[in-house]
Amino acid sequence: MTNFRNAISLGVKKHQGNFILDCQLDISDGITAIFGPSGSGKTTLLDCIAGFLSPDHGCISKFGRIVFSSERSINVPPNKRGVGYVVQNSALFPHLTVKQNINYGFSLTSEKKRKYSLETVMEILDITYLSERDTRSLSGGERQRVALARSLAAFPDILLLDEPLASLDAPFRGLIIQKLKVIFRELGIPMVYVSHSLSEVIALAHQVVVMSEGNVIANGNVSLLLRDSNVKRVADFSSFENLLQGSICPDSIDGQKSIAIGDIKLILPVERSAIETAETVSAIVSIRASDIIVSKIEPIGLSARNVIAARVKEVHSTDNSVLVECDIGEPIYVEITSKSQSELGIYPGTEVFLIIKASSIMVLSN
Amino acid sequence: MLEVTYITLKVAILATLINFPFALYIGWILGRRNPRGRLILEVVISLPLALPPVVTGYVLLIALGSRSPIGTFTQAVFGSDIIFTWVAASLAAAVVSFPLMVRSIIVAMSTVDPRLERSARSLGAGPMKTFFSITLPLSYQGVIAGTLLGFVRALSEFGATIIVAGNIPGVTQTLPLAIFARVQTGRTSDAFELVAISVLLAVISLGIHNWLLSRSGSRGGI
Repeated sequence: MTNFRNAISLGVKKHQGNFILDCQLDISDGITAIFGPSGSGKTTLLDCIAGFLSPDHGCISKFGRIVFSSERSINVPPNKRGVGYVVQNSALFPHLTVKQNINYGFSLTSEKKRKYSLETVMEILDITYLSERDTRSLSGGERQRVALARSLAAFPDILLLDEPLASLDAPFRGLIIQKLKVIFRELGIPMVYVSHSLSEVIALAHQVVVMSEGNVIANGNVSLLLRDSNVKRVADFSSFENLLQGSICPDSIDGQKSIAIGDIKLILPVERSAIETAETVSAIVSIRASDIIVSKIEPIGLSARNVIAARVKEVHSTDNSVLVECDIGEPIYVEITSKSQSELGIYPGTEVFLIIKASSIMVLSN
Repeated sequence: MLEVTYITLKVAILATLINFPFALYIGWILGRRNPRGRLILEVVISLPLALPPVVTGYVLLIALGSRSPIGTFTQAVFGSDIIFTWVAASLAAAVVSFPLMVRSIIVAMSTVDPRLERSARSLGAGPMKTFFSITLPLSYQGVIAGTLLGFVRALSEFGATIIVAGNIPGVTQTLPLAIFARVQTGRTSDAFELVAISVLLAVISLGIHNWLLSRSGSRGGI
């Protein structure tokens, strides 16, 4: 994380009934995930950063400028903080069209401060075709893209995202993850991304902040997340899915299309292969960690289409299962039982073969 | 008869105009914020609904009379009291109809999803801009309906009006006062015409009110 600057620095205390938020935290200008179970204070923290809640004590600064200080009685109102906020249900204005929604913050920004055009934002998020639509006729994925565009068009210095994928179906989730990566790459806007999904965090974030009961219990890069014993207490590995970015190749092998991820190629399920693509398309695929089989010797005579050689990088054990981190050019996680791990003798450095059925690969982007 | 209708409408319209900005403001405070002293404010604004209008009228008579500060002020500026003028009748109607108007506006504004207002704030809109571009457009049908309800109540005001404005034909005599005067003097057929006008005005206003409310049910959510 050496190439990231500090976007937000805060030290705050806030009582809400029986709940106490008590955080000391530096957030980088990359993509930061705030991870933790529900009720851990993630949204309260975002509300404090955005200015919708005032901490009882403390100080919040954004790129070195103080936006809240209880000591110096500074409390910049939300509309002057330059902090964008996208919530789970999108909160689009129902009396305005898509274009009017996106133009809302844009029209409030003086021309000098507009860093890019409305059209650029709409193109990045692929919503130009929705422009004149009524917001109530949009699908979940479309709503969330419009909400993102609306926030970006107000030129925030930092974008807060409160579980933006939680209410979306699987294909839309992949699409939004891709869009968030594009936004960061093209516009360079730092993001703080609240999630209780370990998979999303690993797929997106540069920095991970883990919260539990109102406190920050871990803060660092993504691999730290899996190593930290505090994190294992709050993370649920059982539903872990690998979200891998790759590109779908136009030509098919034996009638089935494949996706290139890092150095390897995975064969996709038959139903995906019917779709004709003339060029390489980038996509995100989801593979559940529990759907991958590990073998120490190269298997033969298998019906499964994908057998990949990999090296074990780390072994993260929890109470009842083990998450094995393998390297295939990108990290891929496999969930096995502790018994299999000890019987097979899987440790860091072990050479293994991963067996993945084509049908357990789900392509998330459209 | 035309004159009575004209005075009635004039009194009720002014009453509604006086009330509207206050009702909007109080409606916003109580519907969208959670102010300290909420209970006290709610009791104070609803008081005219619970008191006999005659009592409200009596309080107004003292407050506006020539010996009161307001009376002294109007004497100095206009050279006369406003007691027993149509403006006094409007004030009486305003005070009595205010609770009905403000209560409907509170209900209308509290149906607006607070997340929409928060989004507007995070997009750079200040509190005023947020109110006029988000809160009001999403609750305007309820706001208009509440205003109409206040207007209907102002049309039918009697008790407070007769105390502060008297029952002066051609000056302060509104429909209810005229009906009262005619029934008292046994001119029942004359009274009947006025009753018909009253019913007509009430039916039109309530019709619009109910139509607006039925439409507002389909809006305002996410």
